[in-house]
Amino acid sequence: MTTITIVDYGMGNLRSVEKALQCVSPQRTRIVTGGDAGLIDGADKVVFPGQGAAGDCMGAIHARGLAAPLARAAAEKPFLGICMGLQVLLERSDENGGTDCLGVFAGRVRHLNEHAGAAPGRKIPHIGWNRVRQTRRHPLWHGIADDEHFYFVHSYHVEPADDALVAGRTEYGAEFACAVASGLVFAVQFHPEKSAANGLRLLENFVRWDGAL
Amino acid sequence: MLLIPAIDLKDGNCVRLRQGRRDETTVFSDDPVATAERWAEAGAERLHIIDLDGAASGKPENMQWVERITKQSPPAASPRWKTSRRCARPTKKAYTAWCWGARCTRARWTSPKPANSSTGCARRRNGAEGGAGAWELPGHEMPAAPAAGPGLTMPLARRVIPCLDVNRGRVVKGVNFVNITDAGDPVEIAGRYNDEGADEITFLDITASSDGRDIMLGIVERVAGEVFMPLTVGGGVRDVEDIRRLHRAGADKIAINTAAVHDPDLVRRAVEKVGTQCIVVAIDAKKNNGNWEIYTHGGRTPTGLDAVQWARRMEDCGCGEILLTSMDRDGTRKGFDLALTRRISESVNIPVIASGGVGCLEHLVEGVTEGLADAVLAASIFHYREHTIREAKEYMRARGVEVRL
Repeated sequence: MTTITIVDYGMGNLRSVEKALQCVSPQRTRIVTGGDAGLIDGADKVVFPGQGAAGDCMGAIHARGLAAPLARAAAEKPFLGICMGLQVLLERSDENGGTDCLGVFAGRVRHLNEHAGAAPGRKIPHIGWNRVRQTRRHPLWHGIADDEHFYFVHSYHVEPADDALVAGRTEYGAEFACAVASGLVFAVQFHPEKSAANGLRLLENFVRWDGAL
Repeated sequence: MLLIPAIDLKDGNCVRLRQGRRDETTVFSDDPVATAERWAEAGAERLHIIDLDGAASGKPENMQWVERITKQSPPAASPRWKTSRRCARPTKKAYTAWCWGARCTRARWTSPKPANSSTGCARRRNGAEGGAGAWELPGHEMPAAPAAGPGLTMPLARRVIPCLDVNRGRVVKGVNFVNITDAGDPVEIAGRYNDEGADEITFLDITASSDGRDIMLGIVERVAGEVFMPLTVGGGVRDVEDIRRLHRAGADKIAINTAAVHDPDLVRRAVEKVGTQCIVVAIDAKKNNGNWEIYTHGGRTPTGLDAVQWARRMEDCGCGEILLTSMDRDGTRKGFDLALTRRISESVNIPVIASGGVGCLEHLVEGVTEGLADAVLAASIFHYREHTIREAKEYMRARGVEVRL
């Protein structure tokens, strides 16, 4: 039996993530939602969602002693970051006057308005369905056409130091990285659990993924 | 299934054109009013009236007949008018529906190529015979897409949002916030919209009593467990605890209306708890001396607040979106209040969802191209299956609006 742990650190509603994973998982899959280090260490796969501000998220992660277990999980087992679960994987976010993050990836998180070359007058947050251009092949894109729509809700975006880690890009006034992949980690800015058929397909791909590239 | 008899008007007669050709006309009756009454007596719940002269000339030509038909009282002896679910209040409702048919053809009258109109009428008549729908205006028959403005070139799709007003666990639809008719089970309807490709679903709980509100929580839980798309819930949200309960039940966004007016700081506190992206401020506005005034309590209570200033203030408080309803238009099917929508959309830097008054697919396009709305919300045209979400999006795409299909 495979155990997938959804990391609950008090940031946002995880019910949709849980229900969507249940919807696409084979019967012999245990889906656990919780915030204990033991649940992360004991899982075969980890889903790391998150909503809200970077400062609050990192505060909650440290308060629960989850920084080390999350870093371990990202190195050892298939790991899916969603929304804030992508942003806090970088070294530092500009949000809340500057917030140190987990540093799984080198790079930083910036406000959408501070994007180089950003067109003025865009509405922030970036809310809605936008196209995702797949910049390289990955098992989690399997069966999903290029340039399909996914659902976004965010005001900040990631800038990984290594451009080769970017797996998908989206344009909102200017292009930004909306999917980052390295080794066992795949992390997305959009919400697969809210992205109808394409989102469910991505989650299903994750459930089936053995970590091989 | 709804069977809709169509009356094609030409030179004051009820006619049928062979293959849409104006020179091959069969006159069925020289008295459109009598024909309409005959359909009514036979149990028709709606009529579809097509002004063929208007389609050719580009402006209404048979309005006097449409008006005479709509002024007629339905035959009191006909029991079906009274038992029809759709026409719970027969005299008003049925005839409003007749008007809408004529109004919806207005989109065609503005066509630079009148030839399009006759094919459109033929298509509609086929639709009526098959019982498939009333005012089908297929995208590929429409004039060329307008030149894309700066807002239209964005790849971000304009959202099409079906709205479900829920009263004690049932979907209902009000006309001008007052008359209410039943349109079905919310979970079932949400599932259908998901299958059709809706971008989001909005539930507005119009239940008055507090015990009825727990029904809503159960509905939100069920929908969130089955439908994997954004879900907005509003109506009767009073405090941060209500917001947290709805959020926990599975609502992605919570719309606040009356409570925000009474306690503007509520928005700020709510944003601190659940984040900007979760908080939608619903504005019900009514035109008043060239400006728009905010109303609360489901449109019953004027507040003296100016809608534009209020929208800016709510943005400053951190709300993530504005759900803007024109009370003058809600339930009327006359289209969005485009001037209001544009004013608000240009005044804030957060997304604006246009709501209130959609009667045909062209209205959805106008909301985006003229009202500059980021999302368009409608109820009746989807609930009563006049159009599917997919038809709406195909129509919008054909007119140059970026949508997710």
